[in-house]
Amino acid sequence: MMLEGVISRPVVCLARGVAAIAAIYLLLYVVLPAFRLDLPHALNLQLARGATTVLRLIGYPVQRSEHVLLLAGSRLIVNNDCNSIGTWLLLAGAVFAVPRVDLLARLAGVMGMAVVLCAINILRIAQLTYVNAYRPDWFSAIHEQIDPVILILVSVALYLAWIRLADRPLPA
Amino acid sequence: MPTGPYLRSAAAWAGRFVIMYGVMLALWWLSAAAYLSFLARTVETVDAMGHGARLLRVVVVPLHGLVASGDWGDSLPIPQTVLGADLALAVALVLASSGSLWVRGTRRAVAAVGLVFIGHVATIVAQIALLRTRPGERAAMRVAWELWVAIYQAKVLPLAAWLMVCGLQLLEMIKRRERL
Repeated sequence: MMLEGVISRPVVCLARGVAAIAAIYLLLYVVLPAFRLDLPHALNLQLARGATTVLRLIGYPVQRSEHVLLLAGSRLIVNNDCNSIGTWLLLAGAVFAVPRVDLLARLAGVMGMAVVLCAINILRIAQLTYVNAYRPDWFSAIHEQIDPVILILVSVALYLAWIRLADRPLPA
Repeated sequence: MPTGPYLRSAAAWAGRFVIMYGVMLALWWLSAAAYLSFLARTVETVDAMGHGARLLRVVVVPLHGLVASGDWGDSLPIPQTVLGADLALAVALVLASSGSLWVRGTRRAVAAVGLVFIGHVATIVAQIALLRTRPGERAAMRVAWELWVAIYQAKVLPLAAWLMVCGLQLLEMIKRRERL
């Protein structure tokens, strides 16, 4: 890359990562909503639906009204703070920051990470609905101090796994 | 590079990190009042520097966090659990990545706490500045703020502090392992 001759490689990598984060964010929250396409809201709805299914499968009589989950008289609202798009943006930035990886591997990594994060989020929302209903004193600590750290550990593991896969030479 | 040693060292690091995080959360509950009080005074001072007068009052609500009130209307609550998680996470990441817990580890932990503190001050001051603007004004600033909120919730602040304090060492470690 020509720029790398002028600016040092870590700076170019960092700039590429930050640019990827800004571009995806603008696409999701500014460009697509201008065309009445609110993907984060649709994602919140799917996460609420998934968490409802999980809780019903393990025998809890949860009710759902759009993106609000009701269990034992308590309400949990699935909003943009719950969908982990921020974590996914950071992962996407880190994926695009890695030098010398082809675009297809980057896109596959970003999409694969989105799917895994969604699955984890469904479990997290189901767990938070349970805690909110039956252990409300624990809600704040679990929501703000335990779950984010679990998400970070999973994200780091996902990222390292992607780096190992992306770094593997293609079969001849 | 064989997968076995890689997974073992990753598991050992994760174990160290989880223990450190638990210890740091316990330490946070002991020292929260002092940190919150210092944070409140610093935010007030920084805000006053921008206006030439004290328009902001930040008070510590024990066991809950901070409440900022001023010339913009509704008061702004800042939960203690979120601030504590940032600090505990940054210090746990740094200590888990530092070989020694003593001189080097302590120095790095102090640097990480300093960086997170600066991030907290900047975030609160920026949020208050945004609350003072009228809706519809400074659209670009609002978009930038929303992006910051999204990545802040993903704990970008402690992660950035960790990378700034331990980034070079981590790069060297990765290169060394790649050569094995």
